[in-house]
Amino acid sequence: MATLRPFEKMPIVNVAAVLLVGSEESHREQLAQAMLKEPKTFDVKIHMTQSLPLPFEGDYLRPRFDLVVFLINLHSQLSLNDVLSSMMHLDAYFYLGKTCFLATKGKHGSVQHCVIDITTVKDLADKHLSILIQSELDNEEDVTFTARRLLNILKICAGLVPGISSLYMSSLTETF
Amino acid sequence: MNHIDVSEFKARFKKTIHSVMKNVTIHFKDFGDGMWIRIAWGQTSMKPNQYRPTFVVYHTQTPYVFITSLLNTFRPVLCQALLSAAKYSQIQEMELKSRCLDSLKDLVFKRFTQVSLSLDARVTYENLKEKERIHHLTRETFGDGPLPKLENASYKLETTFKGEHGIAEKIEPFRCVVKFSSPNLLESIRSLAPSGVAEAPISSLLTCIPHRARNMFKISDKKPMQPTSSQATN
Repeated sequence: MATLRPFEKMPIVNVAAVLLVGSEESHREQLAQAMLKEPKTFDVKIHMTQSLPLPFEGDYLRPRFDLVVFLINLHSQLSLNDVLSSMMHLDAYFYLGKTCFLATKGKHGSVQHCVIDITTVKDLADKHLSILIQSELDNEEDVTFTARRLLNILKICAGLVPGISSLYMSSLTETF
Repeated sequence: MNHIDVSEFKARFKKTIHSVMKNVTIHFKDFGDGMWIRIAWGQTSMKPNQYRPTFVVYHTQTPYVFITSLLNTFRPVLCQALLSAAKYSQIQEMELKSRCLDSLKDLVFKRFTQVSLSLDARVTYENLKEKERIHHLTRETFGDGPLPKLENASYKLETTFKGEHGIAEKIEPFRCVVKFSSPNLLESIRSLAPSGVAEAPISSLLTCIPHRARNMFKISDKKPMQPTSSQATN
């Protein structure tokens, strides 16, 4: 029973929890730091890991995850493989707006080093009705901007925006 | 600056000071891991005051100096001498003062442990076991200390195409060279697993470089995926 389920635990008042899944530690840390720094009206808990499933031992300490972000580095086949294997350990209900893909290193100067085609990741996101964000994460501004976007999505997924639920996220994807 | 330049530094430093002020005694001493300079200042009419010397601590490998007991009148001369001796174009005072030289050094050389993200209660690392395993493996393979500086590693492949029977034998072997380059190759290889770029354990083709003292390899088919004949190292 290693599957992560979205509604198994009770939510905490005014707290949103996000799980960052991706092989590159520096990307996870940069985003986490930026998300913590941003001014927000709710408390945030950030958990990070390289891949799912999460270790069984700490399960009772974990919050209810409102959003799972999959980080894919387009320069690294390993990062895509880790994400693909992790996605199988996520309950199907997570894919109703509570997951999000973040693809890095796909722009301008680094296109020639891309091992993974961006269309592969786009297809992956579309098939799972999830948002895809592309970001370079190579300067502070970019990291801050991405963190803000993730926090906006997280706020909705945690039910902290009145009138909007995570099910509305699918309207932001192309296939509908 | 290397050892040869140190005597040049001392000579230039003395020369610059003495070209402006004759009545100054300067002594150099290598103490700990840095160079200590003791300067007793005098004026045109006065002999150098040995009771109020200025001390300068300079680690030649770094762009930092630590100065104590310096009167404002002698500041320009000292700065000029340091610039000219160490061959820098400018010097700037840091907003950092303390009675403890070791602490200053730790702060400036960033030898203290930075407050990390893991101390923040809002952040949880779920993969600590895996991180520990990788850290352990990396330490076993590369050790703890600084690694020798290499810029390249090249692997010459003389392997044949491995495919369907009947086709493979007819195709000429691929001739291919895989080259890794980096400002510090061994450090990059060491950080492959901890940074998440590659899975641990890292391929022995990369980790064997320091152990076998070679960075040019020929890989041929006789023994698959094993470096064979020898070549001169870099």
